[in-house]
Amino acid sequence: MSLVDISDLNVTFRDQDVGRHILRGIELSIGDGETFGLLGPSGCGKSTLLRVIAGLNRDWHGSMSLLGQAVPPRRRFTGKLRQQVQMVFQDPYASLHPRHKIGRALREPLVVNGLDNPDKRVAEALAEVGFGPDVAGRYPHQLSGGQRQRIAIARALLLRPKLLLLDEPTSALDMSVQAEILNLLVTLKARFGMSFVLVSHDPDVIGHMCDRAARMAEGQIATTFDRAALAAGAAAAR
Amino acid sequence: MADPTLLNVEKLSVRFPSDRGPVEVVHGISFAMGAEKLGLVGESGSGKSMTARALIGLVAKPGRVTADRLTLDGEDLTALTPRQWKHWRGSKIGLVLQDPKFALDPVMSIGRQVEEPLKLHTAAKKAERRERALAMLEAVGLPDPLRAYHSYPHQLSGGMGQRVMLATTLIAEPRLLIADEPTSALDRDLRDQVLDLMLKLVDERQMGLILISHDLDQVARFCDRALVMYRGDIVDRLPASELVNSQHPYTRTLWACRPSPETFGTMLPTLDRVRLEAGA
Amino acid sequence: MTNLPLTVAVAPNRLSLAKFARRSPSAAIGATLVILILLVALFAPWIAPYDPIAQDVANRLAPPSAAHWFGTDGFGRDLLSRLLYGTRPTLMLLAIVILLTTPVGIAIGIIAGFYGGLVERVLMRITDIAMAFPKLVLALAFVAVLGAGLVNGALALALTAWPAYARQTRSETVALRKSDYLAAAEMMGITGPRLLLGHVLPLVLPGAIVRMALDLGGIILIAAGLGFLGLGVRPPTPEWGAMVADGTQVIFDQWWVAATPGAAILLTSFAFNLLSDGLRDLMDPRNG
Repeated sequence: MSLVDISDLNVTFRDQDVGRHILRGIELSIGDGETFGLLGPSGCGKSTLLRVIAGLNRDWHGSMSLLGQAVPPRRRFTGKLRQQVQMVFQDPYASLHPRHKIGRALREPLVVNGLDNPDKRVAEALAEVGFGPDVAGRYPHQLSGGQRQRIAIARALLLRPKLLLLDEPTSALDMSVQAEILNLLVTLKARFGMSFVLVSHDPDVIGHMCDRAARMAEGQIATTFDRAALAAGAAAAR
Repeated sequence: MADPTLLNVEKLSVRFPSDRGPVEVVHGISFAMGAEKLGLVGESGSGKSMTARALIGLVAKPGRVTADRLTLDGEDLTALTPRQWKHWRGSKIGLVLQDPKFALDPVMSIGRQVEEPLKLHTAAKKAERRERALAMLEAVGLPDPLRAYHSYPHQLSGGMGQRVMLATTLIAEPRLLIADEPTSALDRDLRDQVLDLMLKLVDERQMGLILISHDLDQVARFCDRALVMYRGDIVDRLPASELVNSQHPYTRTLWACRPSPETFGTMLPTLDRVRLEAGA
Repeated sequence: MTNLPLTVAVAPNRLSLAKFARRSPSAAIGATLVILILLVALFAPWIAPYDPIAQDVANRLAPPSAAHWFGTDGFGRDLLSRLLYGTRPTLMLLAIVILLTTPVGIAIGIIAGFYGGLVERVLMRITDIAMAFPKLVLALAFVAVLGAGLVNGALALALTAWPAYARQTRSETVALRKSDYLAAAEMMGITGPRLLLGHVLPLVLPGAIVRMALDLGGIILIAAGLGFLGLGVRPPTPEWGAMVADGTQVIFDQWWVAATPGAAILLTSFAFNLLSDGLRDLMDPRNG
């Protein structure tokens, strides 16, 4: 079964009454349990594509189905679909609310989605990413970049997603912290049976993490790589 | 080893006052270098950028720099007044920063910015300045120097901007070039190009280069020697080509923790920070 | 690997008083003055040496003396006592204006900024219209229609004071709309009032508070202006603007009658301006 099925996806941006394509004719299918990489220079549309799959950008044309369910454009994700598609953002400084303590940031999604035992789940989620429960009383600015990113990952996993979208999750971090985060993601993926879509500008990160990948350029998918091609270093070559 | 008289640093410290007493971000480091290419490696918080700022007299207030000895070309830098620093910065030490977007003046033409150091530090006449600026722009590999000369920073791409930065820094022919993460704002494909160029220009002018980078591979490929910094100390010194074989646990992990297609399916080595700090 | 030691730098959650004073002396001075003025208003009956409306015609227009520190006015009322009581209507008016304007302005700004589109256009045009009225002139017209009085004066001022908050909040909200904070909240299914009140409001509130503090100095001046024109609190209740007006009749011979309430207005306005300046420095994100 494929988790993501996208065909003829277009996103246009109106600039002084001239429609400009940000994404053009994207065809994409991602299988259950896969880690799929999206690679390309800044402005190639890879982040836009991720935001379409995330339900954050709903202004698109074409057809998309997620988790076996057809998703029409312009419709907000709700219920199970919203819970099962989650995202980790690039900059952990900008995705954790600066005036919410960690405990609140993790508890609120559970309460909003009506899950039972929120306090126990928060403690579990923190433990999954290597924190003790005492960190719940901290504000994000009291944590380092790597620590924040682990909190962001813990939050994304709260709702037990099937599909986790990763938008440059390590590009704001130091090399040694990047290694910790990548290891953590690999471990959690195996434990919870998720699929990943990983956006990165770094072919090494894609090569390390992904089963398949696509290089994007100017809003289109230019090349796709299977594992053999990735292993041969094809993603790094031009 | 190269002639070690260009830059001599002994017990250089940088401190910042805070509510809980002064915080030392660089702990009395010492090194010397000649007209060679020195890589300064480390992660955020290692003090590598602060070291660079101290060398060029740009540690922002209320930071304090102290050193037993800090000489460039035999001249004492610790005694410089802010006014003298201004002169030194343009003419003896050049600095290239991470992002040309923030380092270039957006409302001044490229030509004027490249000429500026000549205006400040030499007696060159207008025509001569223009000629040298154009030559410099050509030397940094801009395809159409005359057009670049008349354009403005926003009209340049990131790679071009970094070349212009290099031109403004090198035109006054400093003895030492400090490059603080000069390529990390650039797309991958451009990085090697810009570094190749920088190295070529440094070699031609027989200058010293301090390349500050978090990328060990980059330092290994482009530098002669490497200093590895961690939490304000130099923890490892070695020839850059030996980075791959370093015995120091920090350097080793830093080298090995980089992901690549070959590491697929394996766990990356990570830093044992507790042991590292106990050992240090 | 997931058992990394948690080395969390302990940053202080709250500013200590000493640190506050060091980081922004002007805010500290302003805050001290404002607190003093508040205390005076609260405890006026206990501090004031005389009844502020008790007339002593035999002792009218007396110069400052040990018995009457600031002298007496044209009815022989103690000026110091009137001055102290005068803080009450001024602060009351400020409080009413703040309570009426900031919630409305912030709510309109957040809704317009967050939802955009037609909602935004309609709300912001209304805001522009309200903003286009000259403050004092509208207040005069309003009071002329509804009659003089503290509440009417406050209403009149509130009518023209809220658009500034709406505009500022809207622009801050628009900037936030594209932020990862809100995208992350949306990914968690957090929407509607919960998102606006719990996530947007805490981020736009500091800006509105600074704006409010900046406005207060001006509102005090306008309130005094209304009082001066006889459109504020009715006599004989002491009010600074009205006291200045009384004093102008004898300004050449008994200058202190007008000067003391004038100085009080100046000082209060100055205190709020200092406070707002300091707050702006402290809340500037670059000061972290």
